Amino acid sequence: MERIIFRVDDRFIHGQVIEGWINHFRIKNIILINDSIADDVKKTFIYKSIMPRNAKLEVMSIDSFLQLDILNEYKKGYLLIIVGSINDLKLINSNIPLEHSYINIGCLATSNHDIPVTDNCFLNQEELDCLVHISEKHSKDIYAHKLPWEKPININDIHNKQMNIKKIQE
Amino acid sequence: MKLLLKALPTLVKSIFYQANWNIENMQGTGFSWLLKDLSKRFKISFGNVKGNERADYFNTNPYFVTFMLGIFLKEAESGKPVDQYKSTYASVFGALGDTFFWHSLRPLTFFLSLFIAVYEPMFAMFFYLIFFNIFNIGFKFLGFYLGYNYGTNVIDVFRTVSFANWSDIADMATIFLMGGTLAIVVKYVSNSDAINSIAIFKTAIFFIAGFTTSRYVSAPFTLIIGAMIVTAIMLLQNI
Repeated sequence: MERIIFRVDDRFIHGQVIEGWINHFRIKNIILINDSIADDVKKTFIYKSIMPRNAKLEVMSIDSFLQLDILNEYKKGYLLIIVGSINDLKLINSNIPLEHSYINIGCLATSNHDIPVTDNCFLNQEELDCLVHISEKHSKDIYAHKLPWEKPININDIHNKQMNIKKIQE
Repeated sequence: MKLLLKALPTLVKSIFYQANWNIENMQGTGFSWLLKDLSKRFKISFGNVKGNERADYFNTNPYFVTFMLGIFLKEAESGKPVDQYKSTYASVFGALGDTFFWHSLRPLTFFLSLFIAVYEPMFAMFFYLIFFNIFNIGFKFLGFYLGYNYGTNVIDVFRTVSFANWSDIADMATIFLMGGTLAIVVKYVSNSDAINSIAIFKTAIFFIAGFTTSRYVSAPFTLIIGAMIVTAIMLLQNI
């Protein structure tokens, strides 16, 4: 597993993230990127309050993240970076240090969707195309990966499956 | 007390609110059902709470759902938008609940019961249900009370009691009990006061078999497998 884990999760920090990722990899640094949470002091405080001992959460806006020099600021250990949507991932993808990063899609269940990936990850065609575009542009596989001990699903495989379904329908 | 009595039927119903758990809105339908019930009892409107058939997405730890009901009631009575912190608290309670109930309390209860089972098997069976449900039912009532009294500031209560560290303490207790139980089992297998290497070897084999099996079956079966292994040890000794 690469040192920097990018996770797309519309529930941000919940049981799977704490138990599955933060405690499993003993991650000490977590960055949550979301404009509305970064602007809301109370929401930021609530999320910070539930961090396990020794884990530090920073909440920042997309613009702040784009100015961050990740590799210099976080030189050692695992770093978990959470965004709330595929669109946010698209906006920050220019600042992802790809050679050190593992990009995974966690829980995406609240938006409009029609393509099931896992039991709590659903995408629409636009989101799927966007992920494939990011993946191809950077030659980096993106996975739907709920928990570290579960088998990851390559987003390209889902895309190919969708293409085959469309061909059959035509 | 008056508040809890008034909300009692809704709190009891919250035991079943996951009955309509589904992949579309997870616990959304159940939560909407609870809100409607609460709305009826307190004669208050929760704004745009949708009908059961098209409820919004909602997912949290089921033991913490009454905290949400308390917060919603408090916000509705104050005339504030009820769902401003809905997704935030749903996620946060999911994290706190999964860590405390699933990660720590369940194994702790299991090993406490196992420890007791060595001496009083029948009592151990009831002890498991009673001990776990003290927290389950306690959180239902206390959650609603705290949610209502503190509203969206309820997180302060968790900070005050260092709730995030409770699971560390429970984990330490579990490890201690696990070691104690294994020691008793080794002594039992030895069938005498002197512990011999064959007994330790036999126990280790059972332990590895149980651990390996439990990794490949879903969580509820882990307890059954564990109980079966202990029973096997007991029976083999009699043979």
